[in-house]
Amino acid sequence: MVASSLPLVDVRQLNFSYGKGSEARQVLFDVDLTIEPGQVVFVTGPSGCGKTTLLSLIGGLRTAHDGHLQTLGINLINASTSLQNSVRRQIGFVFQLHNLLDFLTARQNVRMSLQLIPDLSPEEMDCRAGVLLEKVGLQGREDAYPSQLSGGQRQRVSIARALAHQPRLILADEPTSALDGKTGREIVLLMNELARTQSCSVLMVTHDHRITDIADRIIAMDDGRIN
Amino acid sequence: MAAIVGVIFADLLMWMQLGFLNALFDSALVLPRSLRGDLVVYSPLLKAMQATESFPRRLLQRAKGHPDVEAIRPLYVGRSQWRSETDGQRWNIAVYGVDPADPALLAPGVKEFSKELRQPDSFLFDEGSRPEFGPISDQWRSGQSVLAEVNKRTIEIVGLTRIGVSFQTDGNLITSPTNFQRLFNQNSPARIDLGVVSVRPGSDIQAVKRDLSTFFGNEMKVATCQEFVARETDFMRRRTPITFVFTLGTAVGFLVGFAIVYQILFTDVSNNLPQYATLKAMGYTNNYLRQVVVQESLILSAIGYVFGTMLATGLYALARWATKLPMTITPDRAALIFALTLSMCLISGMLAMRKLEQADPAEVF
Repeated sequence: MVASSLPLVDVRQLNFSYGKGSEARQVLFDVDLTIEPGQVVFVTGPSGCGKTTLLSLIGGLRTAHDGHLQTLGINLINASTSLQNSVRRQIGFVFQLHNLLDFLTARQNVRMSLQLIPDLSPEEMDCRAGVLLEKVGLQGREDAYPSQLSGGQRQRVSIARALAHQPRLILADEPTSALDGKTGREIVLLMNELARTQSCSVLMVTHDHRITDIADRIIAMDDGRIN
Repeated sequence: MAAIVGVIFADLLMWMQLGFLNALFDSALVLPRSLRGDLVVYSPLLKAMQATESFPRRLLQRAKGHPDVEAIRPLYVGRSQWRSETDGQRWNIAVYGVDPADPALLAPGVKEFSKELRQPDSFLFDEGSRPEFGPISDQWRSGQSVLAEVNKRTIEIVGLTRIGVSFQTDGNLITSPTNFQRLFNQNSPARIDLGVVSVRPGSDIQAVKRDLSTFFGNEMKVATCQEFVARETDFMRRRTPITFVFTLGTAVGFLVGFAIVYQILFTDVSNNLPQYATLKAMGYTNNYLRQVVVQESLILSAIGYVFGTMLATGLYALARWATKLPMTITPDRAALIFALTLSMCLISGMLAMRKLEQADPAEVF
């Protein structure tokens, strides 16, 4: 384990390209970024500027080859799939679309992130899933299927899922884009509030300028560089 | 849901094909299995019991010279035509001649009606025969005298027996050797089709078989009853197209089920690719997801098998009623079909999983 004083995310001189050889298209240039524990950081910028790529590299969803990249103290440059997997398990993900499993209830969907924790009994899982669903304001809807929930409610379930295993970092990619302005703001406020109570950092990519006041820090990206 | 229907359908197909194949074997083996004795003596030219090959009775009689032989029983096998009372149509019928006092066949009714069978042109009718012959059993039971025309000769049905039909025979008659020869206009009763030999209790069947084989040399062949049944099975397996046809049918059922289940699982995985990618992003490994698909296919095969077998039971009863063939579900056949169902679902699950590996967690953002 790493001491809590170290940054959760430490990115230095990170370069990334899609494709190889003459086909290669570089999307990240010398990116530097550190996130301290408990910070809420937003990344903004036009589409295609590399925000999402950066997020997926930090989350161990893509492999970076050039530069320095540490997430939760683990070096992810040229990392193996199993190492990436172990990092992913310690991160909460919130996606643009909720990506809930539609054949599982809200509670079972939240349980999916608890099942990867060893030595947790089914009762404990149900209990923790219930507590989180209550925190996101879905008490009484635990046994509803995603199709029976509104867009905002589904995103609440996915926030509960991202927080259930008590990660130290949440990576969110435009979680408000499928929601109306008011609901979107509510959702982001809720996510940040819950993250703070669990002393968990948030790195969120967003287009939405109406919610920028929530962040501790805003990073503007353009054309693969941080301004 | 659709996948379960697919599995049920495939199971039903396999059950029916295997059912007909087994019915064919079972029905054709009823007669060889009901030979009464320990050893069978037959002509070296004999291909199968129904394709008769006669030989002189005196050859069989020589077996009596062996000290351990207790009894010899000749069996006459013939095929003839039964003329239907109602529409004048002729139907093929198998006729067996046995000594009523010491029959070569274990068929019900022979001893009971031994006196009647000694009367001229008296026959036992197989109540398991196909309905085309008319309501013979009912007529006989109601006490009417039942006359019929077989081989252009009027005969009387004096009793009932039960053998059952096969793919080769629609009905059966049993009579005495004398009546058999009369029916087939044979002047000499000296040619028989099969000889059954009983050895004395306590003596070594194999030893008697060896002795008789040496004794008959190239003229006759000797086999134990079990070997004879195996020989009949072997003939059907190799010299008739039935095994190939129905095995092919079973394989087609398997392939159809496989294709349906694969298609459904593949579509399911494709439709849920973002969700599976999400699970991978959360740290689930390919192996975990593989287990999920394997479980899914196990459940699928179990449910499909149960319902498919239930439906097959119904269809078997229908087929028994319509064809009078012995369609039965036995534990080993049930196990075979279950193994086929299971491998069908597992293989298609494994193949569908290759699609799962394409789920890229990086694409969920």
